[in-house]
Amino acid sequence: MSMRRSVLVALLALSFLLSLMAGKVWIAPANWFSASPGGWIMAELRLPRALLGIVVGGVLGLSGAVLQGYLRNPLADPTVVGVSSSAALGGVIAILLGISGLGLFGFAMAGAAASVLLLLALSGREGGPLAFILAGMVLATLSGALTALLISLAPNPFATSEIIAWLMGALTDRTMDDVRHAAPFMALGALCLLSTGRALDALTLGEDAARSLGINMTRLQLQVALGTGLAVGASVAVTGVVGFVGLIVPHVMRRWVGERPSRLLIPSAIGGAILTLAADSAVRLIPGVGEVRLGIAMSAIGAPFFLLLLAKLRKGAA
Amino acid sequence: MIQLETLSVHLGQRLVVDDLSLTLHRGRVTVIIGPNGAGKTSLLRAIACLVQPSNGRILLDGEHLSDVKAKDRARRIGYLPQNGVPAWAVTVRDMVALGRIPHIGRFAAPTVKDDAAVETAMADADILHLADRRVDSLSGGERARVKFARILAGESDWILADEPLANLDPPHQRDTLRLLKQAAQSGKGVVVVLHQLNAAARLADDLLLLKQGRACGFGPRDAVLTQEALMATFDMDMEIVTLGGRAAILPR
Repeated sequence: MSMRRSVLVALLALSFLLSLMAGKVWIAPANWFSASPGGWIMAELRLPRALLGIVVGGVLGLSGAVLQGYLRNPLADPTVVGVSSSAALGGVIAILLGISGLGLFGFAMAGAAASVLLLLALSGREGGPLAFILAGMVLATLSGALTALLISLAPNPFATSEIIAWLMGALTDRTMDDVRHAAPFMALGALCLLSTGRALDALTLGEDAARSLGINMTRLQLQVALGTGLAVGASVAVTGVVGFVGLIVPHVMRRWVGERPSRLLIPSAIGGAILTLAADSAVRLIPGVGEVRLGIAMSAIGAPFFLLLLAKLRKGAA
Repeated sequence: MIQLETLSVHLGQRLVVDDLSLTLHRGRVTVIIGPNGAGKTSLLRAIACLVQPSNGRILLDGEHLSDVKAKDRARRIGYLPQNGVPAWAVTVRDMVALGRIPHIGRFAAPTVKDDAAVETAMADADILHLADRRVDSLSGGERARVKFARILAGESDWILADEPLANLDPPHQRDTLRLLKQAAQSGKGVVVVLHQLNAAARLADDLLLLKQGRACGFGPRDAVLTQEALMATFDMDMEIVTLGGRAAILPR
């Protein structure tokens, strides 16, 4: 167990180093702290980008693991409960209004906050996981429709392309300011999410068994909604929508550390950070004038991943 | 002691437990039997505080059940639900350890005492040899024993079991009945919903016959288990015969 965790931490360190070095310009560690252009790229571009990769990937992996445990469904992830799309809607509104930087961040967080409040109101105190996911579907669909509507109403093609580029999710050209804005919300959200472990374990046996073990389902729902809202909302606010991390990583980790939900949380956070850093390094290395958006790269990883799962399933069934 | 006082439970608009008053005692097995939809599961869920009574009240050792803190209640009442297909393929030991959740502080780790309780429960349910197996690799009978060990690990005063014999073959039914009986003999209160009338007749110290949410009979087994009462409960012809000193219930 601890060996497996050490391997994960080592992989994380490696992918962090790779993320710092890799790109159109390779920067060797010797130049990291020099006054050369390499040192400038390192401090102004690569370091914030790598740090964001860690925290964004971390909270996406973590929230995916928590949501899968809470909904008792290995196909759940942050996008199905509507938080990502609501935060994205907030961001799109900001772009249309010509707001950027901290303002955009605030709009996206407001979108996430609204989605958490609606999620809790719609699913109700006694609703439980099924009502929660249905309410999430309502929000995801609605905010997706509103986002599409806003794109179609955009005043000019530039606004449209700016919105679409932002929606696709990327870590490109982020600054330390982005890290500073997002980190506190993510930390708070991660604390909420990490504190759900024991309740998620109890839910392995179903809702009645969990409640009979003294688990407060209302509080658990609040922790899940608030944690996802803060952590994933902040991640969308600084990077746009990066899908599949929250879906894939807990799957892989389940094979690696076992299926017990509480034991899955920290490995999923580390795994999410590794996957995001690795994918973000890869998109920089793909030759071409521009850069493949991280969100697209992640989806491109997602499809073959699920194809692999499907192949395994059919092989097992045959 | 668990007292039900004029207890009524609604499931949505439907009245499923209708004005029930009775007292359950520790050290005894109380078996609830009755036709489908008689309110057996709802009654058990009400005693487990999973559904709120629409009228009347439940007292646990004289205290209002709804006033007992959830964690304290969980330490005193263990509940074994009917369809407990685990969502995740955790190990047997992890599964049994779930029973200790009410005993562990919010931010504390399991103690030596918790580990010992888990081992004892696994030994009592005869699943020590399965401890490191994943629950999805077990047979139905083994899985039933694991679920039962989870309840034992909680060391609760009460065990509420909803159809613990479902999907078990005769030897595993016998083993489960033995475990329930042992739990009662060790001083726990055991309340069981059963569909197997002969198993109920063997296991019960007290019997509750439930029909449309109302008690058709409650009390010591031999006083309650009559042909007339059974026929009234199930609306069906039955015969009670004595074979080798044991009562057997035969449908006609």
